[in-house]
Amino acid sequence: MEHFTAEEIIAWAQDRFGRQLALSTSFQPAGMAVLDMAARRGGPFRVFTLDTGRLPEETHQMMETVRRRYGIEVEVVMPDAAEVEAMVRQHGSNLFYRSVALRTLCCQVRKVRPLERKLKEFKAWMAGMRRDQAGSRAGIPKVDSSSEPVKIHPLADWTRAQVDDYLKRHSVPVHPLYAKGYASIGCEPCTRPAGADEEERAGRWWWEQGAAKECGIHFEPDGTSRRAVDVLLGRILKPEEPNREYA
Amino acid sequence: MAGSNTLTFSDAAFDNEVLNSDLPVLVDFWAEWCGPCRMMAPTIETVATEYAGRVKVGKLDVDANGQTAMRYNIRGIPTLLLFKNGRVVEQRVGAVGKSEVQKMLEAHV
Repeated sequence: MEHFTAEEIIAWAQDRFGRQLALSTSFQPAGMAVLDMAARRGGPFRVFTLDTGRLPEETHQMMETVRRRYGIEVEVVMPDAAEVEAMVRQHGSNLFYRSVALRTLCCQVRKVRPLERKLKEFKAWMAGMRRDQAGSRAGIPKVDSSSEPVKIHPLADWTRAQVDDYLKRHSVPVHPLYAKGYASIGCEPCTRPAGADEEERAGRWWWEQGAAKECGIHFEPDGTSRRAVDVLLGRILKPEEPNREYA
Repeated sequence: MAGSNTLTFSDAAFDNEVLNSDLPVLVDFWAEWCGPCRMMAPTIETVATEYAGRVKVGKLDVDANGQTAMRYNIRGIPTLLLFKNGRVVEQRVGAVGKSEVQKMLEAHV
């Protein structure tokens, strides 16, 4: 389906999946372009967003803007309250600055796990990801049927300029932080503007960029290994179990 | 691996192949699921070729060989340990570039 245009892919997805199709968005330009195209095309689809609990105020404003402007009931997904409470009690509120393992843990609890739970409601989902956003995204397909739900990137081959042009032509609301130099937006404490010569996502978790890249690992007495993040997650899911120290 | 100069170490043969080696031995503690470890793999192979005959270079999969990993208190991977006469003489934790690995080895060859 690589030869399909963005609008053709969205039309196909709406016809094929109906209300079992979702757009997952953080209301940034590409997601808003997909939302606008899907709304104008008129087919059924649902919209959800991940409210991690640490979003910038401007992202909440966009949720309101979308509600008013498009009449779309955005499904706001939140992390499991007990998991967040256990994590913050064990590690503090701003744990993510202290280590990659703790930052990954926070992303897991506040974003990844709620996303996995929400995706069970759908057969297909769309996101505004583009190949030129980051080296790690350079190979994303327009439609990925290799897993469930089917993952769709209608704007995979669009440039930033094409997205901006679309928003202008159709008067699509733009996330307020983009006017302040942000090129990618996640949670408030973990996002800062990217430099003009940097990758769009360079402002995300920026403090980790110079650090040595390594993966934390723990060993049980019998020699089996566990990833540090899995150990931390285990302590959150079962806080009543004794805190075993891994020497 | 056919044509590879990178050895594969294990719990069972570690004493024999590493601690009792006449040559210095560079051991790369790694795991398949660890991105930074996979990033290091080409560097390890290059170094293994460059130092063939002077340093033994090999990898130890920590998932399958936890006893050795625990023995050397591995907490983050990749970890590079350089052994000489059965002792650790150099170590680096985290993915590093080729020049850093060469620096590690040059002091001991």
